Amino acid sequence: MQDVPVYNANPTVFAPSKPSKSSLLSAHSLWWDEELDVKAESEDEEIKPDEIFDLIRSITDPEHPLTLEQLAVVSSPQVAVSGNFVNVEFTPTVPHCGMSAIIGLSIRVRLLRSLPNRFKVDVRVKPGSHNSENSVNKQLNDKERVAAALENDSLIDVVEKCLSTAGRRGQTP
Amino acid sequence: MESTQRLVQTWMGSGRDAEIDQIVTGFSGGQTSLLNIVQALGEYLTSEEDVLRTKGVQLLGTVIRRCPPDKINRQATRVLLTFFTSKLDDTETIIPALNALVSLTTLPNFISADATETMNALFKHVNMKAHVQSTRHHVFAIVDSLMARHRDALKNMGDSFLRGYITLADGEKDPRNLLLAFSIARVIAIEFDITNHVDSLFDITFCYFPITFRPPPDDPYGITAEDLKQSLRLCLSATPLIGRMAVIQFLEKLTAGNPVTKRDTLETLSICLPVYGPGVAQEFSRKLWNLLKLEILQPTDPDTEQKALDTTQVLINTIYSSEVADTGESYDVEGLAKEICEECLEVLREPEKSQAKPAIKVLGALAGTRPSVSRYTLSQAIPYLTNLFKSLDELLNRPQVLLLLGDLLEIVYKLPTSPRKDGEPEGTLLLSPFKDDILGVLLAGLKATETVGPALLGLKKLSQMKGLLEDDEFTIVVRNINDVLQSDADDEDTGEVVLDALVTISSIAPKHIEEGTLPLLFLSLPDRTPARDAHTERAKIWRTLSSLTKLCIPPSLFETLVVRLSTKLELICAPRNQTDIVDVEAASAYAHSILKALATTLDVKITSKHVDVAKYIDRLLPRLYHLFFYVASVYEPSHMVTANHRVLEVAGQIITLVVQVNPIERQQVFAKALEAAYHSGDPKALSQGIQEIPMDVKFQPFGIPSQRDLTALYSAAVIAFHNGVTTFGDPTDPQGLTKVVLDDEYTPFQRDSACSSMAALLNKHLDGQPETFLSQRKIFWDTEIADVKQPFNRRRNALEGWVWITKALVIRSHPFVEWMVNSLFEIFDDENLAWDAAKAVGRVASGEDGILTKRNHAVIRILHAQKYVIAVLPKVIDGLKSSTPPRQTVYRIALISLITSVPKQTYIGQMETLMSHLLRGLDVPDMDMRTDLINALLAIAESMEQREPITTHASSIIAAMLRSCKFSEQPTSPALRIAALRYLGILPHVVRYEVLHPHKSIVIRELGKVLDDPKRDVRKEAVDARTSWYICSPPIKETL
Amino acid sequence: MDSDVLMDHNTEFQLMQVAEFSNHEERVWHLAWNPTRPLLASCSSDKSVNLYHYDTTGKFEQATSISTGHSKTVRAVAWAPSGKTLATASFDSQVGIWEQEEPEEEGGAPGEWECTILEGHENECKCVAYSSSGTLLATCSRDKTVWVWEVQPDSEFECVGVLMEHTQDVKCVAWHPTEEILASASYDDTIRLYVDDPDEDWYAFQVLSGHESTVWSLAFSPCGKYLASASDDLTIRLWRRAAQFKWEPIGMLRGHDRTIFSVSWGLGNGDGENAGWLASTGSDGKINVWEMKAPENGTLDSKLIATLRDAHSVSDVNCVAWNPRPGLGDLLATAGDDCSVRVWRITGVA
Repeated sequence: MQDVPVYNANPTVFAPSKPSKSSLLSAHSLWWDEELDVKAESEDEEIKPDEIFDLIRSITDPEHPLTLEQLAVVSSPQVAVSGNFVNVEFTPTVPHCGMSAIIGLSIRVRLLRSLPNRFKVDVRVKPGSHNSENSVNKQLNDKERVAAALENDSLIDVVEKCLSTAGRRGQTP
Repeated sequence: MESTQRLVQTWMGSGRDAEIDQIVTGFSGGQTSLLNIVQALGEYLTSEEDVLRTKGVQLLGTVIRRCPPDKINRQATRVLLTFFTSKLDDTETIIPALNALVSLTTLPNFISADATETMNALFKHVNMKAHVQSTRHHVFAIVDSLMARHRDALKNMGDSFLRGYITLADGEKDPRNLLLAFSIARVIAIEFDITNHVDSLFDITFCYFPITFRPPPDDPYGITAEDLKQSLRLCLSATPLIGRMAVIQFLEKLTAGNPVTKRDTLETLSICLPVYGPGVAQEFSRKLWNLLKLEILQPTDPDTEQKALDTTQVLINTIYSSEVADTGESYDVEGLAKEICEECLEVLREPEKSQAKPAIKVLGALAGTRPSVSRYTLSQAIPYLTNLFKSLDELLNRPQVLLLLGDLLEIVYKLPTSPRKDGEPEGTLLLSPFKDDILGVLLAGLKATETVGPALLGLKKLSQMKGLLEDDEFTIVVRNINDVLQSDADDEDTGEVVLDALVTISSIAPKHIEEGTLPLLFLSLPDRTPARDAHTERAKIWRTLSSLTKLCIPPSLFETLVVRLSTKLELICAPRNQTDIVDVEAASAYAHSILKALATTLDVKITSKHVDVAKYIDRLLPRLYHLFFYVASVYEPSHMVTANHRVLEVAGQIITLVVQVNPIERQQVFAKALEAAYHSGDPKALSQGIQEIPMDVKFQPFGIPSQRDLTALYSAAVIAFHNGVTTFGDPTDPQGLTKVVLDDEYTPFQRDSACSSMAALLNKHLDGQPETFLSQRKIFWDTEIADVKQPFNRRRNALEGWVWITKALVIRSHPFVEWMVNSLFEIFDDENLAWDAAKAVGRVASGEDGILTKRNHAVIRILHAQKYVIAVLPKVIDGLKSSTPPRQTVYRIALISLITSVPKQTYIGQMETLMSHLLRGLDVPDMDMRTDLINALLAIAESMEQREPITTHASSIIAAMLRSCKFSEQPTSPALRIAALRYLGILPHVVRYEVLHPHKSIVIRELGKVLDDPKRDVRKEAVDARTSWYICSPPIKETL
Repeated sequence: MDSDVLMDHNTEFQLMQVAEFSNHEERVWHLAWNPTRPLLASCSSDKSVNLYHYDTTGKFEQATSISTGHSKTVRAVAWAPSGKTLATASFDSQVGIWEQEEPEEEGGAPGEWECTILEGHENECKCVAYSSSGTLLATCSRDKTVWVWEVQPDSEFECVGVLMEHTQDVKCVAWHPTEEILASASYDDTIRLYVDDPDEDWYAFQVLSGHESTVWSLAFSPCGKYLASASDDLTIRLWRRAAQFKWEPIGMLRGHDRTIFSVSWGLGNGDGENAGWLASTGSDGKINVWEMKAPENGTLDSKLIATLRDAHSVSDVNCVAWNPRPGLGDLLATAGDDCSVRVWRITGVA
C-alpha cells in the first residue's frame, strides 16, 4: 500500500465501547456465579444489531492500524435489522476519503461470510458524509461488481488485511 | 619408492580412496616422503593431458589434507606452496591447487612470509568472475584462514592487500561465500588502515543492503536471510569511517523502501549509529528524525513503529553521548531532543487525534534515554498535559488527556531502575517533582463521569510507583476513589476500574483500604435477604462481594472479612424469629453468595501460600458448624436456609480449605471433635456459637433422616485429613459409609459425600496389601454388583461406590487396581449396568474430582494415569476389535470415557491407532460424551503434536464434525456444536492445505448453514471456523 | 407499494416447478435455452457451464458439465440461432466460443466441446448475444464498451465495431428479433440503440433515458415492436418503436421490491392481440409474469398473471428465460444464488 495517497493522516480516535456480552445479566437468576449453561437449549437468541456490529467493529482501517470502531466509521446504532433485511451505514473519517469503497467492501465481505444467506444486506455511507456518496453506495450494492471485486487478487489481499482483525469483536488482542 | 610409484599409478586409474590412505600411512609412517610422492607424480603433473595434470595436483592436495600436519616440515611446506601457487595460472589445475592451499595455510610450518606470497599469487592469477561458486569459496576460505593465522602479515602488505582483496571480493553473489566475505570485511574495516580504500570497501559491502535473499525451499546449506543480515550488520557497523556514506544510503531506504526494508534499515541503524558516533548522528539528526517521525506518527504496522521508536532512542543517546557528565541539576537540553519534544507537544494540542498516542510514545522513548534528556522531556510533557487538562476549552477532550497522561506514566513506570541515587526506581525520581500536579488533575478527573475511568487508571499507575506517594496522599486517593465507588456502583464498567485501582492499592497500602473502603462495602450488604425480584439490588450485592473477595487478600483485611461476613451469615440464616425468613430459597441464595465469597478468597490465599489461613480452624469453622447444627435442630424445614444443598456444598468447600492447611496435630484434635459430634452425638467440641441448641435435641447425622444432609460437612473435613490422622472405625472398610452408599433410603447428595470420604480414607490408609480388604471387596462385588438378583438401584449404587474405591487406588497405582477394573469388564454385557461400567473405566482415572488431590494430602504416585492407561487401553482396544455390536458400543463408550478422563500425554503416542476408533465414537448417542470426546481431540489438535493421524483421517474428521455442528439434522447440544466448530476452525492450522483443498468449498457451504444457529455463542464459533477456512489457501510467498 | 397489493391475489395462472438442478458449486448467474435442440445451458461463478437435456414429456436431466477454463466467473451464456454454437462471457475479460466436435461415425457419441477465445475487452465481460441471423455477435464489459463481432466461416471472428457510448460499465446487450438493431443497458442508467451504417461504422442512433438507476437487463418483444428494460430502480420500463430509428417510452411495470436483475419476453399462448408473456426476477427472490396485449389502438396493456415468492428459497434470482422453441412457450427457467437452476411451467389455474 506504498503508493496510495494518505487521505487522513491524523484522524480522531474514539474510545471503543465495551464488547457486547452474549449472556444476559445473570442477576435474573437467584444464584450467584450461576454460569449461563450453554448445554441448555433454552430460548432461541435471534440475530440482533449488536451481534452484527460485533462482526464488523474490529475490522482494521486500510489506512491506519486502528479499527473502524476506534475511528467511529461504524457504530452499533448504524446497524439495523428487520426481518431478513440488514442495513449497515458507515461514516468515512473525511468526506473525500478514497478508501470508502475498500472499507465498504470489507464490511460487505465480512457480512457475506458471517451472516446466514437469508439476509439481504445493504451497505451505505452515512448520508452527507461523503462527496461521492451515491457512486460509493451504488458500487457497494451492485452484487455483480462486488462479485468481480472478490475475484480480483490485489483487491482481495487488501480486504483480507483489513479483515484479519475482525475476529476480535471489540476485544483488545 | 616403488610402492609409492605403484600406488600413485593405480590411483590415477582407480581414483579410489584405498590407495590414498596407503600413501598417507606410508608418508606419516616415514616409509615414503613428499619428495617420493612428487616424483611419482612427476609425469602426470607435467603431462600434456589436462585430466592427468588435474588429477595429479588433486592427489597431492588430498594427501596434504589427510596426513598429520606436523609431518610436513618447514622445507616441505615451502616446496608445496611454490608448487601449488605455480599451478594457479593453469586453468586445469587451479581448482585442486586452491583446494590444496586451503589446507596448506593451516599448517604449523606455514609462516607469515608464505601468507604474503599466497595472497600475491591469488591477486596475480585468480580472476573470480571466471570461476564457479565452489572455487570462489576456496579463495575466501584461504583469505579467511590467513586472516585468522597471519593477520599482521596481511596488514603489513598494506594497500596492495586491500586493493587486491577488494578486487577479489567485488561482485560476489553467493550467500555461502558472502558469509565469509562479510566477516573478512569486518576485520579489515576494524583493524586495517583503510584510509585510502573507504569508498571501495563501502561499495563491496553496502551494495548488499538490504539483504533480499530468500533461501530455496530445500536449501541444503541452511543459510537464512537472517544469518546474512546479521553478518552484514556487523560489517556495516565495523567502522565510523563509512558512517556518512552509510547514513545517506539508509535515509534513502527509509524513504523508498517497503516495510520489510524499512524494518531492516531501522534495526541496522540502531546498531550502526553508536559506532558512527555523535558527529554523524548530529549531522543527519534532522533528516533521520523526519523519517522516523513518519513511521511513528503514521505507523503502517506496530512492528515498524516500535523499531522506529528504538532507533529514535539510539539516535538521541548517540547525539548526547558526548555531553559533559550529567550534573543531575539542569532541566534544559539543546538540539534534537528539544526539537522532538516541542514537535510532540505540538501534536498533543489535539489529544483526540490518532497521532497523540504515538507522540506520547516518542516522549516516553526520550524519557528512556539519557538523564538530562529524560528530566527535560518530563519537565515539558507533564506540565503541558496537566495544563491542557485544566484549560477550559479542552473540557471535551479531558478523557483523552488523562489517557495520554496515563500512557506516559505507564512508560515511565516501566523504565529500568537506575543505579543512581538510593536505588529508588528511575520513574519515581523523575516524577517526584511533578507529583502534586499529576495527583491534582487525576483527582479532579474522578469528579466527572467522562474522565473517571482514565483518572482511575492514572491513579493506579501512580500508586504503583514505589515510594512516590506519601501515606497521607494515599489516604486522600482512597477517600476520593471511595466516593466514586459509592456514587455510581451501578455502572459495571467503572466498577471494575475502581476495584482494579483499589486492589492495586490494597497490595501496596492495605491499611488505607481497611480503614477507608471496607466499612463502606460491608455497609452496603443488607442484613435481610432482598426480594426475589430485586435484580439490581442483588446484582449490587454480588458486585460488592466480588469486590471484597478481590480486596481482602492481605491477612489483616481477610480477618475483617471473616468476622463481618460470618455475622452477616447468621443474620440471614438464623434471625431472631424464623418467620423473618419469607423466601427461603432467596435467603439460601444470599447465604450461598456470602459463603462463596469466603471460599473464593480462601482459595486465592492458599494458592499464594498465606499462613494466616490455618488459624481459621478455630475462628471460622466452629461458628460455621454451629450455625448449620443450630438451624437443623431448631428451625422448621420450611425455614432452613442452610439445608439447601448448594449452601451445604460451599460451606463444605470452606471447611475443606481450612482443614487442609492445618498440621497433623491440629487436624487430629479436630478429628476427635468431628467424631464426637457425628458418631457420639456430642457437637460441643466442634461447634460454638451464640445461639443455644436446646438440650433435648438429639444429634445423629448418620441416623436421624432430617439431619443426614449434615454428613456433607463431615466428609468435607475428612477428605482433607493427612494420612497420619486416625479416624473413627476401620478407615479401609467404613461400615457406616458403605451403608449410606448402598441403601436407597439415602439421597444421591448424601451418597456422593459418603463416597468421597470413603475414597479419601481408603486412599490414605490402605497400606501394604491387606488381604482382608481384598476378600471383603470380592464379597462386595459378588453380592452387591455381580448378583443380578439384587434390585437394580442397589447394584447401581454399589457400582458407584466401586468407582470411588477404585479411584482411591488408581491414583496411588495400587496393585489391586487391575483386578478391580477387570471386574468392570466382566459386566460389559449386563443389560442394566453395561454402560455405567463402561463409563466407569474412564471415571476411575479422572483426576478432576477436587477430592483426591495433593492439597487434600491424598497419596498420589506420579505417572499413575500413564500406568493405568498402559494397563487398560490395550484391553479396550482388543475388546473393540474382537467384539460385535452392541458389546462393541460398550467398549467404544469405555474408550471415550477413558480418553476424555486422562491427560492426553498418556495416549497421544497412540493416536495413529486410536483415531479411527475415536472417530466412530463420534456417533455414540450420548451427547455429552461426544462433546467431551471432541474437546479431547481439539486439545490434541491444538497441541500441534501428532498431526499425521489427523491428516490421514482428515476427510472423515471433517464429515463427522460437520454432522455434529448442525442443529437441525440430528439432535445436538450447543456445547457439542461449539466443540465441533472449534475443531473445524483449527483444522486449517493443523493440516496441510493440499489435504483440505478438496473439502474447502463443501465445508464453507455447510458452515454457511450453521451461521443461522439459534444460539449466539454457536454462531460466533461458526463465523470464526468459516473465516479460517476462507483464508486457508496454498502456502504463499512471504508478502511484503 | 401498490405493486404489493397486486401480488399473490387472484392471478389466473400459476408456476409449477418442473425440475431443479443443484450441480453448480457456486452462484448461478445466467441461462440460455437452445433455440433448435432440447438443451438448456447455465453458467456460474464456479467457472463451469452446465447443459441440461429434456424430452418431449418434459423430463429434464443434466447432460454435461463443461469446465470452461475461464479463470474467473462465467457471467453469461448465449446460443447461436443455429443452436450449434455457444458463447460464454467471463469476468476474466474473455469471451469463449464453443462448438461440439462432430461425432466420429453417424449417430455416434458427440465429441468434446472445443473453444475459441475472443480477447479485446479490458476487464470483466458481462454479457454476450447473437444477432437473429447469427452473423453478428455483441459483447459488453465493465470497460464501458460494446463490441460487435462479425462471425466468419470456421469460427473466425472479426471485430467490426467498438461502441464507446456508455459512461459506465455495460451490463447487458440484446439484439432485435429480426433486424440488426442492437440495444445495450448500463450502470450509467441509460439504454442505447445502435445500427450499422452501410457506408460508415456502427453508431448509436438513440439513448433511452428514464431509469433512475442501473439498467440490468433488456428484452425485445417477439414481434420486435417493443423493448422491456429492468432496473435497480425497481421498475420495468416498456418502450415502443415509433419510427424506424425512434423508440419511445410507453409504460412502466412495478412488482419487485429489490433490484430487478432479469427480464425475458416469451411468445405466450398467442391469441389475437397477444404480445406474449413478460417474466421478471430479482433480488427479492420473486418471479413475476405479465401477459402483454397490444390492441389495435396502439397501446400496450399488461396484466400480472402469475407471481411466485421465494422461487429460490431465500436467494436472489439472477436470471429468467422463456423457452423460445415453438410449442414450449410455457416453460421458463431461473437461476439463483442458491447454486440452483430451476425449470417452471406456467399453467392456468383450474
